[in-house]
Parts: sequence; structure tokens; C-alpha cells
Amino acid sequence: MFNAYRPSTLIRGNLRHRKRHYVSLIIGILLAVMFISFITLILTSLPASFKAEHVRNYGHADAVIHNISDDTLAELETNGWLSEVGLATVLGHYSDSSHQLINGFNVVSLDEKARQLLDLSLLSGRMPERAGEIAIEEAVFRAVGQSYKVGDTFTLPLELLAGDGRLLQESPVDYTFTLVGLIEKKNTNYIGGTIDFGDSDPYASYPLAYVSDEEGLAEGAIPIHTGYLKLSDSFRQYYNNMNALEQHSYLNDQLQSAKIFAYGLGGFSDSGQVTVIALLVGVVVISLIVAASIGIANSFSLVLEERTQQIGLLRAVGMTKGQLRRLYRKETFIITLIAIPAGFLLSVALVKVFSLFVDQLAFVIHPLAPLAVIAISLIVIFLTGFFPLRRAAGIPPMQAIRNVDVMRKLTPKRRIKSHTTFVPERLFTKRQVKLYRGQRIRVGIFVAFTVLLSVLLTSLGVFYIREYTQTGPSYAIADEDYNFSFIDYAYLTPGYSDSTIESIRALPSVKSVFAFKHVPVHLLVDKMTPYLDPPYLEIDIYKEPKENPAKRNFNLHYGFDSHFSEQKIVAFEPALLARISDWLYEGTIDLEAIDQGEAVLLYLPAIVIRQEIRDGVVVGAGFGENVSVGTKPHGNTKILENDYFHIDQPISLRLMHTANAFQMAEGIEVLPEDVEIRELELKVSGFIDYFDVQQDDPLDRARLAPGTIITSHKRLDALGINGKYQIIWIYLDDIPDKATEAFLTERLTDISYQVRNGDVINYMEWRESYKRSALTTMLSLGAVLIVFLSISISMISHNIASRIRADKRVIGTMRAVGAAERVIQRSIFYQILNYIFFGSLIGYVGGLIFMYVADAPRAMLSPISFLLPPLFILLLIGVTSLSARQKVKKIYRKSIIDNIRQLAVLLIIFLAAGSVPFIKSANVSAATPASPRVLITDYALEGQADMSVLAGDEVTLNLTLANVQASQLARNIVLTLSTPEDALVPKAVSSHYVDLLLALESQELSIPISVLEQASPGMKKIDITVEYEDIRASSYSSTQQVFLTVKQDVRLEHDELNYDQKLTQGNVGRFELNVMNMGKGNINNALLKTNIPGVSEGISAFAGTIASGESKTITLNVHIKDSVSPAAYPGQIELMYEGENGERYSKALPVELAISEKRPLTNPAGVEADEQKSRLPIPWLAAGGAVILLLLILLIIQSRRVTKLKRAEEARL
Amino acid sequence: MSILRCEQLSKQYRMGEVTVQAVDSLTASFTKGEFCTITGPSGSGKSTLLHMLGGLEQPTSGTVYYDQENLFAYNDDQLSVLRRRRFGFVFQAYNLVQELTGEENILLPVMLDKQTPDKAYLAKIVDILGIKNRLTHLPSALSGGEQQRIAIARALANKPSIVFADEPTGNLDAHAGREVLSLLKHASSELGVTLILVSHDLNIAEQAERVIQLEDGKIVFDSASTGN
Repeated sequence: MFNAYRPSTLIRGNLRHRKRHYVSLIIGILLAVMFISFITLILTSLPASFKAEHVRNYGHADAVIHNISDDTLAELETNGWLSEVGLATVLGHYSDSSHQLINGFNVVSLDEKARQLLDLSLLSGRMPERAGEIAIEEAVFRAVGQSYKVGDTFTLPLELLAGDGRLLQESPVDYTFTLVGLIEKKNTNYIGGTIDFGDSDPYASYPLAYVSDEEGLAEGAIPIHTGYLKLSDSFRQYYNNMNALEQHSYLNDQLQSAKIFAYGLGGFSDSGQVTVIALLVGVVVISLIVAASIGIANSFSLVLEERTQQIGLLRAVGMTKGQLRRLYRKETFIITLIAIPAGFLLSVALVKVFSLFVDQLAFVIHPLAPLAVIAISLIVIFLTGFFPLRRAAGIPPMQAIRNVDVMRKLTPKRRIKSHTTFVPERLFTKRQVKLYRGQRIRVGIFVAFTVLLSVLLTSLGVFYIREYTQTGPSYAIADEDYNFSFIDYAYLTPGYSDSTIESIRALPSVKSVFAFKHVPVHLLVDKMTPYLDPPYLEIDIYKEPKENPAKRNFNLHYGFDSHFSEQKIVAFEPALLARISDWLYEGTIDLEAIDQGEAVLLYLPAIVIRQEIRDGVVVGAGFGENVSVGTKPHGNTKILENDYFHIDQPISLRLMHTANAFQMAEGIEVLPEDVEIRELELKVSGFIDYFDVQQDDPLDRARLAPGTIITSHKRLDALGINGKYQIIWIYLDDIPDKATEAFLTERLTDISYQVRNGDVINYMEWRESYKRSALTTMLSLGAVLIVFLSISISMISHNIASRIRADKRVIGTMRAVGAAERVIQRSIFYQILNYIFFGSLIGYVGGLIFMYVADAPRAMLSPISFLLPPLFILLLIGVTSLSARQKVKKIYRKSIIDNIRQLAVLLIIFLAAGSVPFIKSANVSAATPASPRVLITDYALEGQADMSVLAGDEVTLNLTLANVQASQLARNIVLTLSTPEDALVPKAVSSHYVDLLLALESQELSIPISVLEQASPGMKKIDITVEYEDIRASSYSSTQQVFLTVKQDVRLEHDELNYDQKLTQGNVGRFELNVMNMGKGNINNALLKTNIPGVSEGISAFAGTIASGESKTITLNVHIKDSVSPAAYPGQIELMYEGENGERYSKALPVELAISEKRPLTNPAGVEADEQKSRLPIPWLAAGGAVILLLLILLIIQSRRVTKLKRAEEARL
Repeated sequence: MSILRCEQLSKQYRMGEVTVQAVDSLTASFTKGEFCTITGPSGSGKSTLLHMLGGLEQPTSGTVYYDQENLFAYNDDQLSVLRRRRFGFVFQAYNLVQELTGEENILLPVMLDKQTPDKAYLAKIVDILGIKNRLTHLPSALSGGEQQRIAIARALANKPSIVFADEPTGNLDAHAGREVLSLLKHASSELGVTLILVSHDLNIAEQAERVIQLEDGKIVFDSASTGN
């Protein structure tokens, strides 16, 4: 009993008795930790992922320098920028005999370091070890025109080129190789950009074939090396600094087309992009951590709210706020010990699953990741727990003990409005909403966030599905070189011709082919309007004119920044031209007129926006849909319709061609002197406005821009413009099987190489890849959404469960007054709706607004985007409702009394924690009351074994007063005695005070009592009223009785015993004793009894009851038998009697009898003597009669006197 | 004729390995309009008996008949309807709904029954109980006596046939307790309601027409059967 204990005992008690609460809290924190951990693991895996991706694509090298010189190497080493360097020696270059196909490959040998850095992946076979062996990348096959298997031998003619592209040999040198290995394609040579023979890296962008370093160079060949570099940290620092200063070109010049890969964020070298992405990621991460924090804060607040009474109690018994905070911090620490590892492990599993779907994510657990998770989680947990605890500890103790100050919360400023008619479940919900506003706000924010996320993610998901699962062309072949700034149709014949299309149509499975001829032209500005040159319109017209004098002039005069304008002439097939009629808003599409060159169509948006500044002079204009930033409607902006071009209006075009460079004059680009000009006169027959087509529609690929001139193929040919196809789209009958796809890919690749830089785009592969990517993205986004939904469900369920627990008594009361289960269920359901509704509405509307503001593609806003989030909301409502329903049912399974009974769990925990043995030894009755019970458990008279007192005595009544309740203390205990006034009187005061009785504590009280002299004998009752208070100052009282038996003294006095001493045999001896009851009570069963051995034993004379003050004569006659021998016989006559309470008394009165012999009686006279003897003596008779009469009279008088006395006595009592 | 009757009613509680017989094969009946006190020492089973009579707790064995119908043959919904229409409960700890005002607490059974309140009747009860000026306050703004009076009004709101009161004065001081008891008696007698009251206080017991004394879950004294 009363063992010392530490606060950890209380913590253990809390954890033991509130398992359910802590499970909810742990789950809430676990989910949040899992989230934080998930983000942390992803972020920490990213560098490793990027590095892995980089190595997969490019090997371990940071930079590739083609034709690297010793000087460059020396410079790099001197600067300390080199960490490692491997060299590839170029044996030669292979290309086909026409030299017009630039597809070829380089043959190189690698030194050991280069092999390590390139980290090539063998698909089959091995790397070459001897001269004559070669291992090639798969992509090489195209250049060769056939495929080889490992073991095949073939001859390759190789050319050696100098850095400036000069051939170093007169003719290629033939090398014979045996193929020993096939290598997975790697972009080890990639630098990006276009091929330029004037460049110093002729070996760039070719796939590689590898030979052993035993393979020697051709005679006279100059070794050309490609350097694969690992750069040092000091270089990275230098590079980042240069990056910040935007000095790329300087650096690139220095390193000669080196491509530096910084694998921090996907290989971007642009610090601006890195900053934006980092910012975005940071915003997302912080948002998610904030959301997780809200979840934890909510869990803490709930638990602390349920513990408010305990907190108040601890504060009431003297715990300081600091001690309280330390106590709960320790508790929180225990919880985190469970939640953090569990959350981390779950997140590891989640990220692992995630990485299976995302190829680019190499899941690596950074050694510091667990520490980061623990650190962030602890910070978040303790920060979020800090404020609720601080708030809870600050509540005044009694207010906390009384728990929820309902009045204060419900009526902050004004009285509550009382209703005389209401639906109970609705009114109850309404009050609850008001009462627990803080909780609802927290949960509402989280729900809003979740729903907003669901809107965004659903839309994104829908977008992905639509974007990447749509049908479209299966292939395209493209001329990557089709980006010349001048019409060079006679010079390099770029693009594909009609024969290419024929070749493609001849392939199996090809359903249709679409392409349009597209000819960039230059038009002299004096023949055009500003409207047809969008780049001009992109000049920022908000800038002050004085910043750019040229632009100022330009702005004021509709000037151009060059003497010509770039435009496009697009030629469509007739079928496509006919389709354009859907977009025609003015004029006609006359195919014949177009074919004959009598008309063209002009892509010209119907709405033009114009902005005026200052003196009303137009300074710029833009097209309706195509207006760039800075020219949106603002301030003085007016919306105008096209007022320049008209139907049937002729347009004069001058097509220009020059091989000379353009010059700048006064900030304006001017034509060179030598320009070939072709004049065209075209009539506009119709205006086309911007249209929205499905992505798989060929017309979408036309990418028409405002001002584009649209004509037909025939007309273009007739104009003498050798239009070509930049891109040809190929549609197949059906999705081909793998073999057909491989075949088609190969054939189209061959066809694509008809142009210098042709390429094949396999849209099917793209779509597959995007489908996978879309699926992965959707899965991962779905996982994020599920986590958020889970946390939302957990938060709401936790809150509702807490409410149900707290309201168990209310539920019991409602049941007791007749509320059916459905009433309670409805009330809970309304509360759930309340939790979810506003948050959902805000999240949903917010999500849609966000989509609108962010100018989300229309494809994202499909019916599914609108319908799915509400389904999530319904899911949220459904799951939380089901959970709550079960909890209410659980309460209903118990009896109403169990619901109502509010066990003082706090005190039980508190006391159990500190005095478990004490609690264990106490008996808990079946019906444990909720309030203290102070009872008199024992009483006795001091120094006595019984409870009888004598009249006139003073006794001390010892009471044992006990608080028999196991969990409540009682205080301010007042005992008030109420005694029968005619018998007992408290000697001192009649009230006694006890300050405090702890649970199961008792105290002895001694109360002196006087027994009155005149107290009548018998049992007397003393009423003892016990009044006391519990810890909440609620009053209680009870009354008990203590019984005392009052006895009066028994005093039976007597005279001397009268008796005949001398008796003869056959005589009757008479014993007479006069007794007088001198006591206050009656004497009962008074008798005399003989005890004279040899004479008489056990003969008695019964006198009965002798009342107080009465006297009686008891006469005992004893017959002396003839058999008694004459002698002296000593003995006793016993006087026996009983008191009123049955106590027995006896007194022995000594006697001595002398018994003599019996003399016979004789008479000689005979009958006469008999007759004489038989004659009664009359005088004696008379005298005897008179005596008897006298005695009778005396008896009567005495009897009357006794009766009178008795009556008087009775009356007095 | 008896309005409420129990036959061989028993209730056992298991507290770990110990089985406590709270009520032991108890048979009793109550007539209409009767004021009966069930008394006995702490742990004698009086509250348990009351809860079973009122259908708040299921007995281990035995039956309770209200108006000749077996109470525990009803399902939960039917019992709920019975409680709000025929029974009224007054508890030691008042058990008011903290979020509702006094008025709303009183009207709760009426509203649960979707009835229109009998304003005249309620006004009469409120008048008898003397709580007219406290109706729009929340329970936390009321004293113990006032809360108990609200609870009594609630118990009487739907014109019940029986009011069960479990230690109604237990949480009150002596003066408030006497007052509440008097009001309860008065209100019940005015309205002809059977009042079954549990108390360990003999002074309260003495005021009833009938006293049932329990000890160890059994009736040791019933003034109705002894003719006292």
C-alpha cells in the first residue's frame, strides 16, 4: 500500500486502459509518417535514379569530347577539373557509297578506363579481345543494310576523317571482322543538335562498333581520340557558377561540344529549369507534409480532449504545466517508437511497388533516409502535438475536470437559442457542430485537400488515358533537317517526295498515308500586313518605347523588324481540303479554283485584338486565340474584326531565295543584295479560323498558324514550287503482331533514309510506352490519392469514434428516454456529413477553379473528371459511416445502464498507476457507484464487548467511518447525531467533522454519550446522518442507525427470611420472604427455591413479576417427609429473579432446619372424643374468619396500591 | 391491478472469476399510482432491480411484465417506444444532454416520439417543479437541484404511467434532496403516475406508501405484504 511510483507508471496506466485511443492515434501518426517517409524516400532515390538512368543511357562519363587534343586534356588536368578520363581511338568511319546517306557508324577501340566509363551492356557474345574481332550496337545494322549474328564474318570499308571533315585517306580501308558480340544501344556519342559538316566533331551522333585495342590503325592514319571524362567536384562548382552567369557557350567552346550531365534533376543544365522544378517539387512536398501534419494534429487534439479530465485532475493534485508537458512528451515518444518504424517500413514497401511500375525510378534507400524520416517525423509530431498539449495544460483544473465547458463553447458571445420543436438528431448534430468547430475545421481542410487532389488527379488521369490511348498514326517518317530558314528547294531538296509515299503505300498492312506539303516562304512586308506575322506581334508592347528605339519606331508605324515576313504555304490533298470546309467562316472553298491558282485560302482567325496606347495610335495587334502574352485584353484593348483582308482580295507574294546571309541595318534585318524573287499573285477565296480537332486527326498535324496560305498540291506544283513532305504519317489496318511490326519498322527505316536526316517514329511504341508511363503515373497518383483518402477516412473515423466514446453517456441517456438506434445512427451520420460536406465542396470547386485558372486542356475536363471526385466523396462518406455504424451498434449491444455509467476512469488510471496493490486488494461491488460512499462500517462502545449501557452511565461510542468507494475521494464530511432525548445525550457537540477521506480510507471517531438516569431500559436508536461532498463539490448524504441497549440497575431488596426452624416429620415448613423491587425496571420470574439437602431440593414458589417500587412476599411451603430422619439440616433457600433484559440473578439465603420425630396423635374416649374433637371451635373460627377478612381487605388495598403505582409508573414512562 | 410485475427476476454479474448475484429470484408487483421505495444497503441490488423493471438492463433470468406484456419480448425499437411513451427515468447523476437546453432536454422524449408537445401540461409540470426561469439555460449553467428538476420534468414530459427514480437525491444536499423528493412525489401524485424510487436513505423510504427492502438481491421486507 502507498508504494512510491514514477510518472512512467501513469504512462503505463494510460496506455493500458486507453488502448483503443492510442491505437487510433498510432494509426493516424503511422499514416502521416508513411506519407512523409514516402516523399523522403522518393526524393532521396531521385539522385540515384537519375544517376542510374544516366549510366543506363550514357555510362559513367560526365562529358564526351570528340577529337580531343592533348592540349585540351592538359588544360583540363591543370585546372583540376578531371577526375578520370578514358580514351576511344577511332579506327574509322563507315558510310554507304553514295555519301548522301549520312547514316553510318564509327569503329573505335577503347582503353580500359573508357570501357569502365562506358559500362556497355552485352546482349549476347563478348567484347572483342583480339584484332579482327568486333562487337557492334544493334543500331549499326541499319547502316549496313543487313543484320549479322554472332560468329558472322564480314568486311567493312572504313574512312578516316579529320576533325574538320577532311578525308585523311584517299579511299576507304577494308577491314575484315568477326562479330563476337552484340551490344545494347547507348548514347555514348550523343551530343544533340544537328550534323554540320563544318563542325569539328564528325564522329558525333553515330552509333559505335568496338574493336580490341590490338586492332591497329591503317598506315598513315592520324589517331583521333574521343575522350570520355569524369569531371571533378571543383569543375561542377565552376560549371554551376558559369551556368548561373549564363556563360554556357564559353564553356562549350572550351570543351568543344561537351555535354555535361548533371544528374541532380534529370540532366538539365539550365539552372532556371532546375529552380522551377525544385520549387514545384518543394511546394508539393511541403503541401503534403502540411496535410500530414493536420492529420497528426487532429489525432493529438482528439486524444488530449478525451484526457482533459485527467489533465485537470493531475493539475488539481499539484502537477505543474511543465511536468505535464514532460509526461505527455514521454507518452508521445513511446507512441512514435511504434508509429515511426511501422510507417517507414510501410512506405518502403509502397515505394518498392511504385518502382516496379516506374522504370526510371531506381529505388535506393539512401543511408541517411531513415534518419531524415525520423527527424522530420519527430519534428512534425512534436510540433503538431505541442499546441494541443499547451492548450490542454492551460485549462484551469476544475474546468478541465468538469470537462468540456459546454456553455462557454456553445455560447461564446450570446445565449443559445432554445427550441421548442426540433428533430432530436438534427438539433444534437447542430450543437455538436458548434461545439467541436476546431475539429471540423481541421478535418475539413484535409478533406478539401483530398478532394482537390482527387479532382486534379482524376483529370490528369483522364487526360493521360485519352492522350495516350487514342488511336492515331502507327508510324511517321520525318525529315529532321526540314528547318531551314530559307527556301532552298533547289539547293538541297529537303523533304520526302511523292515517290516516298508510293513506297510506303506499297508496304503490307498500310491502310492510309497522310502528308501535306509545306513550304516556308518569305514575303516582302510592303505587300503584307502586320496581321500575318505573329512573331512581330509578340513584341512586348507593354514595355516603354524608349527602351528599344527600333521597336518604338516599329510600334508607331506598324513597322517590322525586318523587310520580310516569314510565312508558310501549306498544300493539302483534295480530300483534306474538302474537310477544311468545316472551318470556313467566310468565302468558299472552290477546289477547282484553288487547283488552277485562282484562289487560295487564308488561315485567319476572325477576331483580332488590338491595343491602343497614348494617343490612340495602334501599336500592335494579335489574333483571337493565338494572342501571346502581353497582348491579352487589358485596359484599352479593343476587340476588332478583321478589317484588312477581304474575300476575292488579291495578295501579292514575293518568294525570295538567296544564298547570302542577312544583314542588320538600324536594328532591322535587311535583305542581302543578291536575292532571287518570284512574284505570285493569289486571290483569297476563303478564311479559315482556328479549329479544335482530335489529336489523332491528321489535320491536327498541320499545325496551321495565323497567316498560313492554304492551297492544293496541284497548285503548288503549278507554281513551280517543288513542295516536299516534311513528315509522312502512316496508318495501319490493325495493331500488328511483333514480327510484322519489326518488319515494317525496318522497311520504313530504310525509306526514311532517303533524306539526309530521316527518322522513323514508331507511334505504337510511343503509345505503348506512354500507356505504361500513363498507367504508372496513374497508379502512383492513385496511390497518393488512396493514401490521402485513407488519412481522411482515418481522421473522420477517429474523430467520430472519439465523439461516440465521449457521447456514450449521452447515447445511453437518449436510449433511456426512448431514442431508437436509428435516431443515434442518423445523428452520427449527420455529423459525418458535416465533417465531409464543406471540405468536399471547397475541394471540388477549388479543384475546378484551379483547372480553369491553370488553363488545363479541355481533354482534362471530361465528364469523368466531374463525376469521379464526387464518387470519392461518396466513398469517404460510405466507409466512415459504416465504421461509425458499427461503433454505435457496439454501444447498443451493451445495456443502457452500461452506457450511462460513467466510470471515473481517470481516477482509476491515476490511482491504479500509483497504488496498484492498494486497488487490487479492494473489493469491487457488482454495482459500482460513480460517487464516493461514506458509511459507518463499524461501531462499538469503548471498553465493552456489547452495546449495553446502564442508565446514568457515560460511554464513548467509537465509530469507524469509511469511504467504501474504490475510486472517489470524499471531503467535507459532517456527521450529525440524533439521539432519543429521554435516554441518550451526546456529551459534547452533536456534529463531527472529517476533512477528507480518500478512496477506501477510513477514520475512527469517538463520540462521548451520556445515558440518562431516567432512561427506560430497552434498545435505543441513534441516527447518524453523514453528509459529504465529492471532488466536484457535489453533495451526498446518508443516514445510518446505531443501536444501544439501555439497562437500568436491577435492585431487589428483601427482608430477612422467615421460617420455622424446628419442624417435625410430616410437617409443612413455611418460608416467607418479603421482597421489594428498588430498581427502575421490572423484575421478572422471581421465585424462591429450596436447596436443603436431605429435606427438600428444587421445590420452588413462583412470585412472577415485581414492578419497580413494588414489594411482594414470596411464600414457599415445604413438606417434611416422614422419611426425613430427625436431625439438623443446613441448607439454602435460593432467591432467583431476572431483569428486564433477561439477565438472571440469584441469591442464596442460608437456613438450618431441625427436624424432630413425629408424635402420633391418640384419643381413649372414643367417638365422643371424635365428636368432641370434630366439633369446630367457633370462636377460633370467628377469629380466623376475621383475620382472613382483614387479610383480604389488606390484600385488596395492597393490590390496588400496586396497580395504582404501576399505572403511575407507566404514565410517567 | 398491477401495472408492473416481475417474476423470479435474477441478475448475475461476472467480475473476473467471481460471479455476483445482484438480484436473486425476485418477484414483486406494482399497482397503478403507487409510490414505492426500494431500499436496502449498498450492493443489495436495488438499482439493478430498478433498471430491469424499467427495461434498461436485461435480466439473467425471469420476466418483467408491463401491462401483462413481457417487457423483454420486445425488440430494441419497441422498448425504445415504450420507454418514451410509458416510462420516465430519473437518475442520480441527472443525465441531461449537455448540449441541449433545459427546455430541449424536457422535450426530448416528446420530440423523439414526433409528437406535438402538450404545452399546457408541460407548463403545469414546470410550474410544479419551479423551473420556469431556467428552461433556456444549458445544464452546465444549472445547479444540481435544478438539473434534477429538469430531469424529473423530462421523465414526466410524455405522460408516463411509471416513473423510475434511481437515487434521485443522491447527488444533492439534504435540503435540495428533500425538495426534489417532495416535488417528485407531488408531481407523480398530481398526475397519477406510479413512482418507483430507489434509495438507501431510510428517511426517504419512510415517505413512501410502500417500502420494499432488499438484502443480497432478495426482498427481506415488503410493507405491502405485511399490511404495514
